[in-house]
Amino acid sequence: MPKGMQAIYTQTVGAGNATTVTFNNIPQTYTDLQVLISPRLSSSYSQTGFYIYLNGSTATNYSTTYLQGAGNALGSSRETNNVACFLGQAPAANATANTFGNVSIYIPNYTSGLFKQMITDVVQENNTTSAYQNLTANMARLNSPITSISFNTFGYGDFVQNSTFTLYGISR
Amino acid sequence: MTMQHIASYTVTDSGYSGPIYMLNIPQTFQHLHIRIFGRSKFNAVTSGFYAAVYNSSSSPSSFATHSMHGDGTTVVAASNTGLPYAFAPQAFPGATATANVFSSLIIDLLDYTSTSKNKTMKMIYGHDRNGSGFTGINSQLFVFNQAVDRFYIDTESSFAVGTRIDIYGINSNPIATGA
Repeated sequence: MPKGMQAIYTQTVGAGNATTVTFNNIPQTYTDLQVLISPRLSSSYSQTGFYIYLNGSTATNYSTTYLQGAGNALGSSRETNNVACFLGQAPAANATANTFGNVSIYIPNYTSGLFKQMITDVVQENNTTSAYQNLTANMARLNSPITSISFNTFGYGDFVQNSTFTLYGISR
Repeated sequence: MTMQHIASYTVTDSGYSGPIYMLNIPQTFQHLHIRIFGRSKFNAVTSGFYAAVYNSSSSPSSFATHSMHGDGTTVVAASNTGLPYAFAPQAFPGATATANVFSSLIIDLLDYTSTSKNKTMKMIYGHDRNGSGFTGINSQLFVFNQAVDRFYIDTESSFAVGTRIDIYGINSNPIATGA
């Protein structure tokens, strides 16, 4: 297998929107995974938080520590024993039209028997004073290899048309 | 291979002035990934960094920038809705900073050829000067649903020798189906 970064799957949300975006059947032949996402959500807010969960499990085995900026406010917080890992904020229906976020998720050692760690950088954007940037460190207390990855807002809107998600495998 | 090198430029002339432009960016990738290793000639300890995208036949109509940055003592969230570029304050060491210190910046621009999306640039940057330094994350909205085919970076008083920019294209041609 060539070393480096290889696109495995890509999905572009169609006209019907998507409540959940999932990558199934993830090959176990890479070392790490990376996901690049350009998201926008349908909820009637300027931004909405969205989440990641693994192997179809929404058991309360996820936790997050994050740093968040909002253009005029700054904070750090955490979530524990959650049903999924918080990634950050994406533009939603009340944000500037045709504006999508910019998200990078890095998942090292995804085939290991260790708990799964993820590190993400997420920006939202809106043509106004307030727009969010998130740096998050996530953990899924999951000992088995990652075979699927899902994204959802858990009731706060769908991913809208032209949101793009691409999963990459990284080999060394 | 998914991530391919498009172009690079390294400043070798101490008299270099002005921005560094990347023109005629191929439209054959899905995302752009830009890496910069840089220092400014500005006569101060630090200098700001500027980046912008546009199309050969049109420019963005409006802009917004948002950042979260710290210097080891103070952390700040900031925004500006009038700057026609992404701005990272104090991102580069300046002429009076410790010698041989350069900053690292990574810029991601997703779906840069889309004609149905505005462009959202994400930038992560930082440098350390052993007792001082600066790091941050910056996002920039370019209200502009044209394909990006050119890009520039700039700093006060231009770039020092050794500054390097590398642009990579990331394609999303998947090797598998059945996701």
